Amino acid sequence: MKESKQKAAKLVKTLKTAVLAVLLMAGISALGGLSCAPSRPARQSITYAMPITLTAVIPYVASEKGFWKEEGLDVKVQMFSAGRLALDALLSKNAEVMSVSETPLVHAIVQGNKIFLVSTVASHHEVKFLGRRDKHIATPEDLRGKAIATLPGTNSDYFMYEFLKKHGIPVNAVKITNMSPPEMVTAFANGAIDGYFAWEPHIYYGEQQLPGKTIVFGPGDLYHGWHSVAMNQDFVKAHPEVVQKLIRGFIKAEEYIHQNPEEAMTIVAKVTGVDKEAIRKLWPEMKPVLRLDKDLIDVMNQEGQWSLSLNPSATTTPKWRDFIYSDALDAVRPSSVNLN
Amino acid sequence: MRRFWHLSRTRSRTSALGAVAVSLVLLLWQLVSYWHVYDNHLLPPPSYIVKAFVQMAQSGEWFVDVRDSLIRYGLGLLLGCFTGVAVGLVTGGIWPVRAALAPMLDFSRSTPMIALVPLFIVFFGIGLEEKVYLVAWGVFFPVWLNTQAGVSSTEREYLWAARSLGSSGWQLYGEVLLPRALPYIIVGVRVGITTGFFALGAAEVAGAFSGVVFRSYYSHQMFRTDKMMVAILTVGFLGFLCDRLYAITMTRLVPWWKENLDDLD
Repeated sequence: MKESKQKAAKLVKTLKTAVLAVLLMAGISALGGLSCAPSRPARQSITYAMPITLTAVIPYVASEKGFWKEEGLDVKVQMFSAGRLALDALLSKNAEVMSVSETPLVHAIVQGNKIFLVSTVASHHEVKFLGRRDKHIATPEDLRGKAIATLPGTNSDYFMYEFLKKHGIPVNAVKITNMSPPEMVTAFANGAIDGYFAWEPHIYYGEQQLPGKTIVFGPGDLYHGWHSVAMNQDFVKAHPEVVQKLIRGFIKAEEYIHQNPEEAMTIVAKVTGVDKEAIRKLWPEMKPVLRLDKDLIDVMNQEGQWSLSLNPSATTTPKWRDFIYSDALDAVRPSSVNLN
Repeated sequence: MRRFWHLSRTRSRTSALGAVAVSLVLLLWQLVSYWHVYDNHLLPPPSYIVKAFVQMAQSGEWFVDVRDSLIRYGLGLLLGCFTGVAVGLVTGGIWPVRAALAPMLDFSRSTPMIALVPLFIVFFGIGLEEKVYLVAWGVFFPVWLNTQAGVSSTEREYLWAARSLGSSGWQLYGEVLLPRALPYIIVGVRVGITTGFFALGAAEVAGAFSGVVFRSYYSHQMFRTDKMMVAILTVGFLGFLCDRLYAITMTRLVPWWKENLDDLD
């Protein structure tokens, strides 16, 4: 009896120690977070969370050619397999800048995140649908009843909803499944899905798997995307000079790309691992240009409506203009700003 | 009787301490969010999560996700346990088979399940089968390894005694090897219950449009971190529930296992 009492007392003591240890660790972590919360002192060194995508050609070239260094800005590039993860790095303040197509930024703003778009670095038409002809897909109407893959929350997902709406196909008339683009290519090739909505180079890869047996529905007037550079609002307000240096580096990269497209393609091939021939074929679909255009606000507004329809809990439409910081680009190259 | 009261008192105290610890963590979590240590959009407080859960339950979304995940998980668990025990009995009892299969199986068991998704899509498509096979894959290895260990650790004296009494072939398996391996199998299945949930994560990341892990992934994409947290906590809760149910069932089904009650608790 005495022995069992001792055992029970020992167990209680051990558990108490464990609970205290957990609380202590959580407290230390919380205090660490508190001490990091205030804005950091002015600095000329930042982390850029970069996704692997062909449309990030300007940031890739700026980094590879050392254009930011020339501006006195040390940029540590951190690569991410997806733009959404790069955005997490920004929102959690593990990076000061990131870039991605506008769609994830729209979702982030709709859900109340305080970010600024400081510039766009490319406009593109790279989002498409790829279908199998042997599964009797020849026209958009043929998508009814077909197994179609999409990656939720992305610009290709938005395009899918717009595409179905335009052709009068209810969403539930299509068997939609969730998949990452590389898996879409595999599932498409072995017939597990009949088609998919994605961006390049995944459409190109799908076509390569089944040469001559596929059909592509391009975005046409339904959608065009903007590869956008985002930063946290508090950082931008505290360090406007850093944003200007970043923009100057982008402008140098833009000029370099226009003068040396072959070298730019080589850089993109090196960073993304995509075959240079594929990049050459897809090059005309991207326009690497630095600007802030009213069209960006229109696109964000349309995508915002879509995002709100998917997330009914967020009820207010943001004022998109409030999330665009044009001062830096306006100061460095005013001709690139046209928001009215 | 005295032992029963002692055990039940100890267990009550353990449960109470567990509940206190969980409550404290939740309180601390709520305070961390109140102090804005982390942005509420990145780490929503428990109050937001409860609100999101109510919303998901009212719309029926949560129930559909749990149902679909449990179907995939349950079928995969059954298949993984059955094949794990069957293969373990063979590789544990017949050394040439063990020698032939061990390198392949040992090689395969360390492959991350998420890396196998594209291969499973190629072989099984994107329907229910692919998800069930992925879960079964995750369950199979701990069950197989433990079964094999149980069979191969059977004392030779038991086999000699059984043989001298006329047992052979399947009888040896039924009367000596399987009962001897049972404690190992019970532990293997318990580990498999957990690894099956790891595999479910891989299974629902691609080719699904429902399920708790899918919901976590989808909500992350859509910046609904409150719903993402509901999904994450649901997976944890389901795993905990399955483990508890298994432990309780085993103590009822295998009476001699009661002496290991403390281990299972």
